Amino acid sequence: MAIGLILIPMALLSLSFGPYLQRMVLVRIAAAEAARELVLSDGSEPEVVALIAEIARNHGVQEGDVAVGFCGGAARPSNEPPGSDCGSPAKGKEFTVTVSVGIPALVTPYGELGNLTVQASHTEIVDLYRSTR
Amino acid sequence: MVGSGPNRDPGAAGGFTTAGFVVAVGLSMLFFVLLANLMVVQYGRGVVRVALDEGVRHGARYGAAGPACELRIREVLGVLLGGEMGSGVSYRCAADSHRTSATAQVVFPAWVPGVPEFRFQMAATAAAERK
Repeated sequence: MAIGLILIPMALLSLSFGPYLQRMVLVRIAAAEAARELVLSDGSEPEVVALIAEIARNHGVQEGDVAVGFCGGAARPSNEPPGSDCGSPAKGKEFTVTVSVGIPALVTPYGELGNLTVQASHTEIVDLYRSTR
Repeated sequence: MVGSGPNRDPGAAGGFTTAGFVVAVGLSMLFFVLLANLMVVQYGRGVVRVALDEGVRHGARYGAAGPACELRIREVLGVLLGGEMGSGVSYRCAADSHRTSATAQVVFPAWVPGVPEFRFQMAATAAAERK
């Protein structure tokens, strides 16, 4: 009984810690790659959303669970069409992408309990010496 | 007679252990080993994730192709996940004009007899540099 009172909470915490770290990694990678893609694709937000959806699937997360915001605009689920918050690209312009995803507060063998949200932002600058379309 | 109180024989208490206690301690040790195994597998997952991300970022440079990505994955795995665990990771990279992607099939051994191997698949994608 006493051993169970120690081991079962430890097991639940161990099970919950992995998904927490994985989602933290997901939002950081997704924000960084999305900002790069936004600069490389000359401000094409649909291409960025498609990339974020692919990264989310790589991490085993449904694309609708990930929200994306562009250049300080409102965050929308990544399976919805994006707005045009960043405008056209210009040399030296900063593009910021914010990605957020839900994290289960506690993972048990019978399912997930509670929900937290983790968010990451990344800013990239359009190269001053690149050619833009 | 073994017991407590003033009539207890002190010599008879030496080495007194029940079979139930031995079984409980043994099972606890197995459980701790399983927990340690889960933590090491989580570490391994993290290393494979980092290796794939490093690989696709390396392969996403303009003009870099699949071999650059796979070379970088091999370097990261060699540093962070050597030995038997590292040999259970197989990976490949693919690239097109807009994306570089890498996938890995992973098999980690279980430390507790009767527990199946840890098998999973991971993938990473990066935006490729364009002309």
